[in-house]
Amino acid sequence: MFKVNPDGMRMEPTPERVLSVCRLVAHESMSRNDVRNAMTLGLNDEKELDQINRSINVALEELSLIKANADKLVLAVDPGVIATSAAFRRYVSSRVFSAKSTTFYMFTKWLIAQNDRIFSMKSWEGMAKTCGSEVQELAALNENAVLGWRFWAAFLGLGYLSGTMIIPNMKLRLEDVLATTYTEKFKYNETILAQDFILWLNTKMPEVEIGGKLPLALSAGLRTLHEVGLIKLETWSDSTPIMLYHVDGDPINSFTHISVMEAINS
Amino acid sequence: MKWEQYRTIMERYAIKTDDMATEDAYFMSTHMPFSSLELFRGGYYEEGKMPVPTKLMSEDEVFEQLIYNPDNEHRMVIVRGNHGTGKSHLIRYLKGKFERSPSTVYNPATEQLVFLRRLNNSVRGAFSQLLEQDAIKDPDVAEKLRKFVVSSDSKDEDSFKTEILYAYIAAVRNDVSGETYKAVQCRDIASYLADSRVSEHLLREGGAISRCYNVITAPSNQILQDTTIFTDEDFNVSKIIRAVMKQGDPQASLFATSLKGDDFEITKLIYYLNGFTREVIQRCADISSENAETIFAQLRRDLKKQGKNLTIFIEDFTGFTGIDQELITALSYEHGGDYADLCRVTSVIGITNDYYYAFRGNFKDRVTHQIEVTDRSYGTDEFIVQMAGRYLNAIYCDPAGLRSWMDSGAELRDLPISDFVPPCEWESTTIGDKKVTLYPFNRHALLSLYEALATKNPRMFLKNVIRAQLKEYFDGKLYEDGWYFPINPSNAQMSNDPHSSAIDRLEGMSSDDKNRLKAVFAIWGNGSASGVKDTDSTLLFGGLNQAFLADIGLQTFTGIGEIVDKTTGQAVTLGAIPEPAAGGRNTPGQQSVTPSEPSKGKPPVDPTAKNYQKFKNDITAWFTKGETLKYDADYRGWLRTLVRGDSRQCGAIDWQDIGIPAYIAAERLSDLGCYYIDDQSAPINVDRAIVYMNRSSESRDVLMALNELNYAKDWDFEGTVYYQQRLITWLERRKAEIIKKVTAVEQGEDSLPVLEWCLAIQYLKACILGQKVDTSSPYNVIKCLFQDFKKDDSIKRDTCEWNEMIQFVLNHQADFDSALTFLKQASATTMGAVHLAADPNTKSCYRTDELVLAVERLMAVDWDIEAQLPGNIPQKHLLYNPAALLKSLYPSVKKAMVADTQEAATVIRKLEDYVGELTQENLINTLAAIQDLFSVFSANGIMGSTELRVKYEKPPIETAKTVLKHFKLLHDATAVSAVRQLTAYSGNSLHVLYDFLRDIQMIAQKADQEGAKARKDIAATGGFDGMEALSEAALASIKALYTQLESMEVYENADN
Repeated sequence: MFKVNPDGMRMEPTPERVLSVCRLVAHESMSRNDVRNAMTLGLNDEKELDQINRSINVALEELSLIKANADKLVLAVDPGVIATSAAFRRYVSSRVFSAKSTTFYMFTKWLIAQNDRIFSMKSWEGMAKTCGSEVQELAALNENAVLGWRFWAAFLGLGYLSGTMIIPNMKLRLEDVLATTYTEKFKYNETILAQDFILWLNTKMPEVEIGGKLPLALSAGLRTLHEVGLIKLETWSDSTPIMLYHVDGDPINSFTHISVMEAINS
Repeated sequence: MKWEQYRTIMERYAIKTDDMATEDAYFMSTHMPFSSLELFRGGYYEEGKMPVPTKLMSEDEVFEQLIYNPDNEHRMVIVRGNHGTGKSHLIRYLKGKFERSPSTVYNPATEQLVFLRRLNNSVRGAFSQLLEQDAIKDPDVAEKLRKFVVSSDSKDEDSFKTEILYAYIAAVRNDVSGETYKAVQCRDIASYLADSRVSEHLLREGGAISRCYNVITAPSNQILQDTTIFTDEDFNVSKIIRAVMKQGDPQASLFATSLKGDDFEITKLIYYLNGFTREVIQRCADISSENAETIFAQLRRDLKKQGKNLTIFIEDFTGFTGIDQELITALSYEHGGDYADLCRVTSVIGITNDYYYAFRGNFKDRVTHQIEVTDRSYGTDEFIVQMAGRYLNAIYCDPAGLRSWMDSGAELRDLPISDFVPPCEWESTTIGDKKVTLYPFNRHALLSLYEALATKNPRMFLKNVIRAQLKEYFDGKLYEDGWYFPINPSNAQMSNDPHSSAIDRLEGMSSDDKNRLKAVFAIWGNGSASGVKDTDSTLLFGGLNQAFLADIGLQTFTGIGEIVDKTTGQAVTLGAIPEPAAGGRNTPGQQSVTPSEPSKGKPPVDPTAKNYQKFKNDITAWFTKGETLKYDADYRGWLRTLVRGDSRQCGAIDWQDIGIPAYIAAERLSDLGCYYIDDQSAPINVDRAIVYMNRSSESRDVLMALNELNYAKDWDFEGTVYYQQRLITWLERRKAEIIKKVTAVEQGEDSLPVLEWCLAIQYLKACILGQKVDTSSPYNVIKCLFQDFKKDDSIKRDTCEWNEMIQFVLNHQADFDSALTFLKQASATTMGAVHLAADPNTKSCYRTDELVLAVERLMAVDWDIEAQLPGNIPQKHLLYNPAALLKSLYPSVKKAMVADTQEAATVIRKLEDYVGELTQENLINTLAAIQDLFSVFSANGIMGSTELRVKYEKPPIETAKTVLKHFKLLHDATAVSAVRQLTAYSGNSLHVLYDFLRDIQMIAQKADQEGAKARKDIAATGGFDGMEALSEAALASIKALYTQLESMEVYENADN
C-alpha cells in the first residue's frame, strides 16, 4: 500500500487488518505463520492467508509498526500507537505523507490537485486512467490500485466515500495535524494571520499543493471544521485574504485570520 | 415620494377590480386594447363543442363591424367569457367609443343609447338604471318600478326578507303543475319551509333568503357574483331535519323524513325552489311577466314612433334575474314584418359562460353574434406587462393631469406619463410610443406572478398581483419598519438552491427578511443571489440592482460568497464594493439592469426527472411551509446509503476502520426505522432513531444533495461542491451521536464486551450439551467456540434441572444462533461495504487479538461473568441480546448445579454404603469381590449378566481409578461457583458414578437371589459328598456380598 512507486496498492491490507495484526503481535510475539493461523483461526484458505500476509507486510515493511526479532514478530512502536484507531491513524499519517516516493503519496497529491475535476471522472477506474495518462510515473496505475487507495484515503481523513467517488474533504486530516502539531508553533484559541497559518500548514501537509487558492479538499476541510466550531475563520477588512476553493453559495470563500480551538485536541 | 397618494389612487380609482364605476379618466388611461376576440355567428351553445371562431377580431374591429350599424340590422351580440376576463371592460370601452363617435356613427337624435352598468346589477339596480335613462315608457309600469325601487330602499330588511320567504312558500304551495312534485307533496314542502326552524335557517345571514334579498336590492355600490339562491347548506342540516321530523307539524315532518340522509332529495328540492326565483322576484316587485316584457317592447315602440333606434349595452346580464327571459324576448324581435312597430335594436350583452350555458335555451335562436373573451385576448406576455405598465402609470400620475387628459379627448398620444423615478435604472414598457416604468415590478416578476395565479385573468392579476403587491410596497415605504413586500403567494423558490440556503444561513437578518429576499430573487431575479460588479461599479445580486434591494428594506444584504467584477472577470472582495448610493438614487452612467431569465431547472420529461422534481417540491414545502414530508421513506433510504452504504458501495463513515465492526454497523443501521426526519409521514417512534434529522436549512440542503445524487447517479452535477460541503458538515455534526447510538456507548467509554458475552454463551452452551471445549490455549478455545454445538442424544443426565437447562438451550435456539452469528461476523474484518459483513458465508480473517483478550478475561473468571453484566438490559437490541440471554441462562445453570451437587452427594453416599469410603483400596476390594462372584456364578452354571461380567473383567485398579477420577471431580466442585461446577459436571461424572452404583446394586441383587437359591437347593438335597468344600467357599463369598447388600437395604429402608 505504501511501497515505493510502482505499487499495486492492493486492497486486502485494510487499516482494520493492519491494526489487528499489530495488536495481536503486541499481545504476544509470534511467528508470521502463527499470526496467519491465529487470524484465520486455522482456516488454510489461500485468500484469507493472503489478506493477512499482505497486512503483515504493510505493518512490517511499509509502516514499521512491527519488526522481526529472530523468527518472531514483535511490536516496534510505542503501544500507545495502536491503543486507539485515532492514534494509529495519526502515526500512519505522519509516515505516509512524508514518504514522497510512494504510489500512495503521488496519487494522493495528484488527486487533491484535481479539485472538482475528479467528479467528471465518475469512477475509480476513471480516476486511475486519467491519472495514469497524465502522470508519467503513475502510468501503470490501475483501478484496483485506486480501489485499495480509497480505504486508506478515507481512513486518513482525505475525504468521504460515496458511491464510486470520494468526496474531497480533509476535515479529519486537518484535525489530526492541528491536534498533534499546532501548538509547536501557535497557541490554541488565539487568532493568527491566515497567511501564517497557511505557511505553517504547508510544512505539515506536504500532500497538498498550496498555491493562490487552496484546493477543494483542504478548503472543504477548513469549512467543515469552522462549521462544527473547531476552528474559526474570519475576514478582517484590512488584511490579505487567503482564498478558499470557491463554492458558489458558501458564506466563506476566503479568510484573513484563523483561530484553532483547544477542543480540537480533545 | 407620495406613497400615501399612490396607495389612495390605487385603491380608490385605478384598481377597483370588482367595481367598474371607475372614473373615465382612470378607465381610459388603464384600458388595454383587446385583440384576438373570438367571433361566432348565431347562438351556438354546446359547451366544449363550440365551432372554430368565424374570425378573431380586435376591439375596434368589433366596434366597426358589430356596434356601428349603418344598415340598421337587427343585432343581439352577447359578450361571453369567464369571470374576470374583462367582458364588462370591453363593453364599457365599446359604449364609450360609441358615445364619443361622430354623428355619422352615433347620432343621439336618431339613436337611443342605454347603458346598464354592472355596478347596479341587482334587480333594483337594473330597474333604477332603466328609470334613470328614461327607458320605461309605460307610465303605469314606470310608476310600479319606481315604487319598487323606492320601497326596496326604504323597506325594513327583515320584513322584506320575510316577504321573500313567504313568496317562495306561496309559490310552492300553489304549484299544481306536478312537474317536480305532486301537489300534495308541494303542500308538505310549503309546511316544511314554514316550520320555524327551517324558516329561521333560511333567513339567517348569508342564507338563501339573504342571497335573494341581495339579488333584488343589493346596494348600488355592490356587485353580485352569484344568483343561485338555494344551496346545499340551506337544507342539508341533519339537526334541523331531525327536529322537524320529531316536532314539526305532520306535513312538515313527513317531508323532513323524505329528506333525511337522502342527498338526491335535497338536491331535487334545491333545484325546485331555485326555479321559483323569477316568480318570487316579480311578485316582490309587483310586476308580472307580461309587464316585464312590456317594459322593453314599449320602449322599442316609442322609439320607433320617435324615429329612433336603440343601442343597448348591458355589462352584466345577471342583474336581470327575474325579468331576464322577458328582456331577452323583447330584444330578440327583429324589427319589420310582424314587428314593424318596433325599432331596430343593437344589443350588446355581457354574460358569463356559466350563465350562458345554464340558460342557453333563452339564447340559442335569438343571439346573432357571440364575442368570446379568452386568454387569447389577454393572456399574452405583452398584454400582461403593458397592462401593468398602464396601471402603474395611472397610479403614479397626477390625478388632475389624468382628468384633464380625459376632458381633452383622452387621446392615447397625449396620455400623461408619471414623474415617478425608481431608485435605479429599471425596466419599463411602452404605452403607444411612451416609456412607463414597471417599478417596483419587472417583466419577469409580472409574468411569474401571473403564471402563479390559480385563475389567470386580468381581474385576478390586477387584484392579486398588482394591487396586493403594491399595497405592501407602499405600506413598506410609508412605515419603513415593517416590510412585507414582496408577498410570495405561490411559495416560489430560488432555482439556485445553494444560494437560497446561503441566505437562510445569513446572520443579522430576520427570517422574514430572508424569505423576502429569497422571494425577490425567485420572482424578480434570476433565481440566484450571484453578485456581479458591473462595469460602472453598480452592484447586482441575482441580476437585480442592489439599490432595489435597499429600496425595499433589504439593504443589509451584501451578497453571499464572492462578487465577480464584470470588467476583469475576477472576484472582488466585499470591502472594495461601494455601498448603495444614499437614498437609493441611481447615479448617472449606471447601466440598465435586466435580470436574466431564471434557469428552468431540470424539466420533468421522464419518470426519473418527475420524481426528482416531486422530491424537490416535497423537501422545499417541508422546509419553507412546514408541511409534512410525503416521501420520507425515499429520503431515509438515501440517508441509509450515505451513512451505512449499500450492497455495492461503502458509506461515508468507515466504520470498521474506526474500530466499529462492520457487522454491527450494517445490522444496526439496516432498518429504515433507524432514520427519522422531523415531521415525516411514516409513523415511526423517534426514540428508535439512530440518525435523526431536524427541520433546518442544513437538513434541507442534505436532502437536496441526496436528491441530486439520486437523480444524477453520481456526483457530477451542478452544485456538487456546495452540496458535498453541506452534506459532510451535516454528517460531521452528527457523527459522534450516530456512532454513540450504533455502538450503544458514550464517546470515550469502552465498547460493550459483546464478543465476550457471545464467547461465554458458546461456552455455557457447550457445557450444558456436554460438548468438550479445548481450553489448552486461547486460540484453541476460540476455534472450539466458533462451532455450532448440537445436542448429543447419547448423553443422559441424571437430574431434571440439567435436562431443563438443555431444554432452555433448545427453546432459545434462535438466540443462541444469533449469538454465534454475532461472534463470527462481528469479529471478522471486512473489506469495503459493511453490508458484506452480514454474509455468513464470507470467509474472513478475524480480529483475533480482540478474541484472545476476551477469552483470557473469561478464563480468568472461570467463565462466570454474571456479575459483570449490565444492570439494565434493553430488550431486542443487537448489542444487548447476548447479555440478555446470559442473564436468563445463569439462573438455570445455578439451579441445575445445586441439584447436581445434591445428587452427587447422594450417589457418593450410596456407593460408600457398598464400598465403604471411596478409596482406591476399598474400590479394588469390591471390584475383586465382584470378579470372584462372577467366577462362582460361572463355576456353578449360574446365568449372570454377560454385559456386567465383561464390564468388570478388566483389572479392578482401572475401574477404581475411573471411579475415583469422577468422584474427585464431583467432590472438588461441591464448593465452587456454579459455572465452575458446570464445567466440572459437564463431563457427566455424576452419570458415571450412577452407572457404577447401578451395577453394584444389580450385582448385589443377583448375589442375593443366587445365595438364597443355593441355600434352598442344599437344604432340599440334604448336602452331598465332595461338594462341601466348594460350597462353603462360594457361600462365603455370597455371604459377604449379601451382608453388604443387607446392610444397604436396611440403610435404605431406614432412609425411607
